[in-house]
Formats: sequence, structure tokens, C-alpha cells
Amino acid sequence: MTHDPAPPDPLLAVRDLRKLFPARPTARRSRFQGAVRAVDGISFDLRPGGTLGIVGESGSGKTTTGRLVARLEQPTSGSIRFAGTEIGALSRKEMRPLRRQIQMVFQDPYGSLNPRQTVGTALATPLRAHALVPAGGVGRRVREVLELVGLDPRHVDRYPADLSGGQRQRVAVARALAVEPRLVVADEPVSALDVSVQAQVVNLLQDLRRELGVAFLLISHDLAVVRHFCDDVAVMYLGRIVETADRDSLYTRPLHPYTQALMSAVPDVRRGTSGERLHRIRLPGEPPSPVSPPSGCRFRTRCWRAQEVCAQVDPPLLEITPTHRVACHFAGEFGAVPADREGAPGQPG
Amino acid sequence: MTSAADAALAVRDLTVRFPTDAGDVRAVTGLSFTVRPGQTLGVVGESGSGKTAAATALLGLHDPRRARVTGSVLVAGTEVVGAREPVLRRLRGRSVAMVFQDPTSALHPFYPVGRQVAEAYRAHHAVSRADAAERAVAMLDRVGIPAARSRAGDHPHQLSGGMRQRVVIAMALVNGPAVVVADEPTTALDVTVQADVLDLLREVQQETGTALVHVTHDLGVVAETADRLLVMYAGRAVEAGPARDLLARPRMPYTWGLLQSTPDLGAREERLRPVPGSPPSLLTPPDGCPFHPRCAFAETVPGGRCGTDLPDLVPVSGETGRLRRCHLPEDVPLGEGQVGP
Ligand SMILES: Nc1ncnc2c1ncn2[C@@H]1O[C@H](COP(=O)(O)OP(=O)(O)OP(=O)(O)O)[C@@H](O)[C@H]1O
Ligand SMILES: Nc1ncnc2c1ncn2[C@@H]1O[C@H](COP(=O)(O)OP(=O)(O)O)[C@@H](O)[C@H]1O
Ligand code: SF4
Ligand SMILES: [Mg+2]
Ligand SMILES: [Mg+2]
Repeated sequence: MTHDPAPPDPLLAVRDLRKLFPARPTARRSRFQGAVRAVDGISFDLRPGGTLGIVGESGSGKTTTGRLVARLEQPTSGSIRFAGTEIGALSRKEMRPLRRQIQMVFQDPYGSLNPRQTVGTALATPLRAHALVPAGGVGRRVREVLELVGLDPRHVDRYPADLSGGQRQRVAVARALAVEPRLVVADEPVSALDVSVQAQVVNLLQDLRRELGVAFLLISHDLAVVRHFCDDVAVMYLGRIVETADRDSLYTRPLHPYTQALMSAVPDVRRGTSGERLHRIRLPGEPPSPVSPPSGCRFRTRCWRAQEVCAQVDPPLLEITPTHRVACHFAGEFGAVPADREGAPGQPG
Repeated sequence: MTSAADAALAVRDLTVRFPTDAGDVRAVTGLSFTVRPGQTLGVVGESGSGKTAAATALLGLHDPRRARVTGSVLVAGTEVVGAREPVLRRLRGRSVAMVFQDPTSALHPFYPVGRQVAEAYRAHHAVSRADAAERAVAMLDRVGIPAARSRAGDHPHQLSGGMRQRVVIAMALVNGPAVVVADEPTTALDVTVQADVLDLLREVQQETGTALVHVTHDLGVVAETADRLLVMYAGRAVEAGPARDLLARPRMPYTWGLLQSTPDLGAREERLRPVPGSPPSLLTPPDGCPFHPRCAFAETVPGGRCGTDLPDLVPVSGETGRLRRCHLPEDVPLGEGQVGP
């Protein structure tokens, strides 16, 4: 996080954002008609050129958040301000001039690249659609962006199937960046890649971010990748942000019991080889359904700290330090982890 | 390494090829290892390195019309390679069982999970349905399914991914096999669920003394659970040894590169250190060392041998149980910033 005397206006300001999907009936709740509370009242800021990581388990609402911000999804309620403009309620047509500025990169470049389109066509199409370069200059710009992402410009004639996973993901990144966005929403962009290749793409994203000043919303279940890439991190559980902080605070001093459990569960070579395996926090039970989340704090059914108040009162996201906010009734008391959990939450070894 | 005699699983010179129109895909070439009862062997490698092709061969599950398997796989003394289907059927489940990455496709969608575990038991034991059902409930309880007796009546889609994988593990263990082969058993699961399932595998293994072959692309996952590791690259073993020792002091450039490129949860560096390039095609693997096109050390090896001669997998001198496949002289350090203590 920056500590400028006057921080710049955020590029993206999300307030009390909600997305409810109609629940599909399942065998267990065949008559009950409710709503999946995929994203249920979240707020965060992202400054120009900043990087915010969103982590959390499957189904916690990460992808939905990304799709809302990119306006691939219509919010149920709440506000999304992008560069000063409220975009939460814009129609497709009204969004059109802004589309270019918010680009998405997905996990599976197989799915997001048309298999019958060459790399060149995949990159030229958005350039033409947004009329970013004069018609005669499209070819040159395509070669430029290929070089930007470290691909041989001769790849223009190749089809996605002829590329490796890492190369395909570079093409997806090139396509997003070709139109000079101000924000890239990347949903698990390196999760499908092998680690040796994943590191290439992470470095590439880091370089591009520095050179181009693009802001990133990085959605990932990989806490190590997020620590590496993001300045700030938000942890989601069941449609809510339960903790958000600058990278260093979050990883060295996680305060929410869920974040602590998450970090203690990550398999890590260093912990494994040094034998300093820290006490793992086991979460009892299973994640509750997002159709009928628990009353009060949503984490209470699995939380070892839960008290009576947790079932009654929904804890707000409270500021612990200017860069660290936690939604837990006992967050203020979390200066130290309790003795029996000493060192449990991802303290660096 | 142990002798084949006291091993639960002894693999010698295992080779798996898939004939295609474009030529043979050499998925696994000359793989040898043994696993003792109660031991865990971690088999690690990137996607396409031949892990699944090898794991599949351990149970004789390759379709003979699509794959050519040679070499030897001895499960509790019985040869799997070339065995006839009735022999394999007796072996599978009873002596060697598999846990797959995707628990959903490993379970039948239409039957209650308890019944599926019971049927797996009845396949090898002449017991009544009622007794098998009892045994299934006990097994589901053992793998940590809450309220096992009532959940036994659930269909797979009524269970979470983690619970489904527990059911698959219950099915694998119900006959007390000598060997369990788990191919990326936690890759599809959330980290907290993954940690639970890894703990479970370790516990039941300690209880039953089964030998475990744990296949994964994630070094972190086996760092804590495996006794020994075998690193695969382009279908071959390139390094092997005691798990902690191997991860703390890799002796072969690929393993070293893999560790270097893994971002660390406990500390942050300005830049990651990737391995350049990408893994080779197994249709036309490179001559010499399969890793040489990506290897930062190949140029320093005298005579350019890395590009022409395949190094043998040989013991590292002065070290117990360590093997590596590399031309680089043993005393050349692989670099600063090694992972581990
Ligand atoms: N189109 C939809 N219709 C109904 N429910 C949906 C829809 N999209 C998402 N959901 C539900 O909303 C919740 C949040 O889903 P989301 O995809 O945002 O999770 P996620 O955090 O990205 O998970 P993962 O890590 O598995 O990608 C889930 O319960 C999901 O099933
Ligand atoms: N049925 C098949 N036909 C042809 N090639 C195959 C088949 N199954 C696997 N392969 C190839 O064999 C190699 C090893 O695959 P696999 O064992 O699945 O790797 P891993 O499990 O390590 O990711 C890959 O090149 C893969 O494409
Ligand atoms: S044999 Fe040569 S190319 Fe292969 S890993 Fe060793 S030094 Fe590198
Ligand atoms: Mg998602
Ligand atoms: Mg595989």
C-alpha cells in the first residue's frame, strides 16, 4: 500500500456489491426456492496501477466478483465506480466505450481462444473493433504485442492447438493488453500451467504491470502466487470479504480465523523439508450453502473462536490498522495467537 | 533401495508407449523403483511427464489396443505386465487399488456411496450384502465421513468434493490392499480440504501398513508426506532419493529449476526464477539428456555430451539412496538460494 500524503483517487471503487443467482433446485432442497448469495455485500478499492489479489476457497465468490467488475455480469445491487464513472447499472450499450479499459484473462486459454482462429486474427479482431490503430497499422501492432509478451512474432499464423499452455496464456495476455486497458481482471491466469512455466507468466505480468502501469485484479486460489504478485490482498469466504490488508501484514500477521486456517493448510516445500510444520488449524464440518448462510458471522459454524455473539451479530469489516481490516468480533484481541496455536498462521519460518 | 523380495511393489524397466498416426508417444521409458510396505513414494513431475501413464500401468489398466506396456511390475509378488484380465481382476482392489484425481468420475452417479463401497468389498469377499454394508459403514466412518450410517445412503452428487474423495479412499482401502496408487488425489480440492485428505491418507497408511505411490505435480504436497521421491521428466526418472534430502539439496538441474521456480509462501522475492522453455514432446524427445534444451548447465559440460548422450540414472557418490541422471560433475554447485535449510 502506498502511504502518500494524498492517495490518488481509486481507479476502481466497489461498494456493498451483491450478486444473487436463482438457486437451482437440488435433491436435498427440492422445494426450497432461494437465491445463491454468490457475492453478498463486498467493498474494496484499487488504485491506478495497483494490484489486488482475491483469494478464498472454491465457491466463495471470487470469479463472480471479477465478472461483476468487468461487467460480464449485472450486479443485483451495490456500486462499482470505475475511473469516476458509476458502471454498476450501465447497459451493454452504455458500457461499450468503457469495455476496452477493463479486460479479462481467464484460467483456461483453450476455452477463451477460438480454436479456428490464428493468433494473428485473435489479436487483430479487438484492435479493429476498438479502432485503436489505423487499419494499415494493425499487423504491426499485433507483432508488437506478441513481442511484448515474449512470443516470436512469427506465431501470428499459428492456431491455439499448436501452442503450449504457457504460450497460449501469453496470447491471452497479449490480447487483453493489445487494447491498452487500465484494468485487467485475471481469473486464475496461471493455475493451469506447470510451475516452471507459471513462473515465466507471473514474471511477464509483473513486467507488463510495471511498464504499462495497468492495474490488476488477480483472482487465485494460490496464496504463494498472490503474495508474490499483489500489493494488497482480500480474503473471501461465502460471498464476503473477511479480511483485507497489504501483502506483508496479511501474510505475516493474518488476523481472521479463516485466513489463519487457510494459511496453515497450504502445502509448502520449505515447511515440509525443514520439518517446522506449523500446527495446522483444522476446520470442522463443511462449508455452508451460499443459499442459506449461517446467521451472524458466516464463518462461525467452522470457527474455533466462535462465541454466542457470533451467531447473533454479523461482524463488520473493521479497521485494525490503516491498511488492515478484519470482519471478526474478536479481531481486536488478535495481537497474539493463542498459546496452543502458536505460530500456526503462516508465520514465516 | 530394497530388494524386490520384501517390496510391496517392485517396478523394473517399465515402458509405456502409445502408437499414434504421428508415431509412438513415449510416455514412460525405463522406469524402475520399489516401495516397501508402509512407505510412501512420491512421484513428481510436470504435466505430460508420464506420471499417469506409469500409475495406470501399475494396475494393468492400459487398454492393450492403445498402449504398449513392457518391463515388469510386481505387486506383492504377482506380475502385472502382460497378465490376463482374470488375474488382474483378482489383483485390483484386493492387492493394489487406485485413487484418482477426479472423485466424481471414480464413483457411479446412480448408486448410494455406501453400496459402492460394499460392492468393492464383495468383489473379493464372500459375505452377505448386510455384512458388506456394515463393513462399508465402518469404512466410511474411518475415512471421516460424519454420520456415516446415514450418509452411506447419499448419492455422490449430494456430497462435497472432499467427502467424495474420502469415499473413493474408503473404496480403495476396504480390501486392505498391499499397494495404493493415488494419482493427484488432492489436486481438485481446496487447500483446507486437501490438508485433511493428506492427513487421512497418512493416518490410514500408518494403520494398515499399505505401500503408497503418491503421484503429484505439487512438490509441496509430497514434501511432508513422502518418504522417498522420484522426479520424472519426459517419461524418465531423472532424480530419486529420500524426500527431505532431495528437496533440500537437489542434485540435478531440472529438480533444482523446479524448486527455484516455485513461489514461496513464507517469504517474497522480487522475481521468480522460471525454467526457460517448456517440456519436450514425447513424440520426438530430444537426443541426449531430455532436459538439455532447457538446462542452464548443459553448455558447461565438456564435449557437448548433454545434447548427444543420454546420462544414466546412477547413485550420487557418498550419499545414501540418492540417484541422478546428469552429466554435470557432482561437485559443480547448482546455485545460490536453494530451497530448504
Ligand atoms: N450463473 C450462476 N448461476 C447460479 N449460481 C452461480 C452462478 N455463477 C456462480 N454461482 C454460484 O455462486 C457462488 C460463487 O461462485 P464463484 O464462481 O464466484 O466462486 P469462485 O470463488 O470463483 O470459485 P472457484 O474457486 O471454484 O472458481 C457458488 O456457489 C456458485 O455455485
Ligand atoms: N491414450 C493416449 N494416447 C496417446 N498419447 C497419450 C495417451 N495418454 C497419454 N498420452 C501422452 O503420454 C504422455 C504422458 O502423459 P501422462 O502420463 O498423462 O502425463 P502426466 O500424468 O505426467 O501429466 C503425454 O505426452 C500424453 O499426451
Ligand atoms: S545432463 Fe546436461 S542437460 Fe541434462 S541436466 Fe545434466 S547438465 Fe543439464
Ligand atoms: Mg472461480
Ligand atoms: Mg496425470
